[in-house]
Amino acid sequence: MSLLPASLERLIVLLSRLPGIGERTATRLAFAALAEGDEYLGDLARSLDEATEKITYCKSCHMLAESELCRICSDPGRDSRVMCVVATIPDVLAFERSGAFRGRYHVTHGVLSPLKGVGPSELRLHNLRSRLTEQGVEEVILATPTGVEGEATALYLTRSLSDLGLRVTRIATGVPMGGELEYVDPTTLSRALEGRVNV
Amino acid sequence: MRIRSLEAESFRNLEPLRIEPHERFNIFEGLNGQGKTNLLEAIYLLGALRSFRESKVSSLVHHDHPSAVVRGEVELRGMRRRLAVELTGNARRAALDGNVVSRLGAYFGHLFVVVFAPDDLTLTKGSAGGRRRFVDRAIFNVHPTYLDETRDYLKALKHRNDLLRRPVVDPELLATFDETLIRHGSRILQRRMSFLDRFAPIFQEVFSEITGSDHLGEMRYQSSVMSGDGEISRDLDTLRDQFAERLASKSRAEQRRGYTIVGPHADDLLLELDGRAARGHASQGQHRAFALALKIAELRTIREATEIDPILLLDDVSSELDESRNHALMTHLDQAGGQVFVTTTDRRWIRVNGACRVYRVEEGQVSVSSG
Repeated sequence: MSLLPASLERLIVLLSRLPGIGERTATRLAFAALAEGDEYLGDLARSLDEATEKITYCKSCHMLAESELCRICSDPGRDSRVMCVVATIPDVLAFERSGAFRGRYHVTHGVLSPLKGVGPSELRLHNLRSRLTEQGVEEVILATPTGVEGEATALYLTRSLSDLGLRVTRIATGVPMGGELEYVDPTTLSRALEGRVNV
Repeated sequence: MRIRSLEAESFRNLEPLRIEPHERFNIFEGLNGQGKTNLLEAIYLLGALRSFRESKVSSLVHHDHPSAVVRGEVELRGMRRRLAVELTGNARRAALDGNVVSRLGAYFGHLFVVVFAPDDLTLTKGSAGGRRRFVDRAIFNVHPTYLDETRDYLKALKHRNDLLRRPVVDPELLATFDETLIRHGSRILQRRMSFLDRFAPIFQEVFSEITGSDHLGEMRYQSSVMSGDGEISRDLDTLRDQFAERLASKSRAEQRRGYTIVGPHADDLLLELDGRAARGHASQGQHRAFALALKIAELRTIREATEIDPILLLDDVSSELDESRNHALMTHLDQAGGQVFVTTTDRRWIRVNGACRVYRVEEGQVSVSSG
């Protein structure tokens, strides 16, 4: 490593801090970026600058945004009567990819975990109640993860929102579409059986 | 169910191993400390992905090697499957027919193993934890999803205990984890009750076979979720209500002590001899009869539930049993069918009539014995 210029070394160290990237991959990425030439490097540097400068969190739903409100919150075409509570930003992207949801979101940025010191005040819940009442929401869909902590978070929200008189629902768990039942893991399959619905 | 071939590399002190076990009895003879139990442990690992001794995965790897591998070909109802487990540090990787299994839960159910080791002989005398573990392992053999369920329950329990330890706690948050505990705990209780409903009569029958009907051996599940002689409901919704009621009545005691005292983690399986607690009243020999009956009943329950003869691993138990109990065990083994792996310091203890293959185990080397 000592053969490399200090600036390049710094770039490699910074890249290798990202998840899934070890020192070898970081080195490869750094060399590939150099090989792309000055124009690419300038673009890359500018977009990093811009990201630092412009990216912030939506004041309303806590999604990524470039202004006070994110694009979803400022879109008048979205259905304000339904709100989906998710734990992370990638969860919003997943719902958006599905195209099945046209309501608003609320990103909690985590799930309850007493052992890790994450309580309700560590989650971005401070404005959830006011959003629900002020925006005339009729249904909250709880889409936190299905593990013990995600379920507990959904339970907590169900309890603490119960006085608002809204319809509170939990997303279904079960069998993936187009999958062969044989390959579904037994725990998922038994939950799918428990959560069966009338046809 | 039958193991057709078994291989192990860098597993504890074992030299690279490749054997083709007999379909009935496989006797591993050798002095203590030569690696006999390690061999059974390798078989157990292949089925259960962990040790039956209280060992960390990392301690299973030979200290001079970075990783260990155990492979086996298992035949079940005419189908042959290749199982493999690789251990590196504390990480486990399992493969089925050469494909790495991404969720370990999907691996289970291809090799049922029941182990009977000297530690089991103190089951009736020892801690409640040992008896809970016995029940939980037996259930896991019939319902692989039980592993996820117990893991989830323990997670819920730890979160709740963390809250109970705090001087001040948001009541809404505690109520959330009360309910989380109840949800996961009720599932565990329901599994245990439905297992014991099937298991208890079989146990009673086996116990009377072993003791020649002189004594009555019974079991009773004592749950922290019920007060006095209350009966745990078999219906999940009612069970949840019972759990919630009990939890509410103990809430002050729990906050004072700072941990959860109601739930399946605090239960016990009471064993009774002629209506009295075996723990205080059974003789040494009777304790062993209990242990033996529990194990044989476990095998029979698995067979009844799955129509599969599980593989039995017997770790040097005969030398700990007296003549008549050893005879009862051998008679059972001959009647039961299924593949058996036995370790012993002296093969004369193993008086089975069925066909067998004898191996010598010496300094980690396993070889077919000529005689």
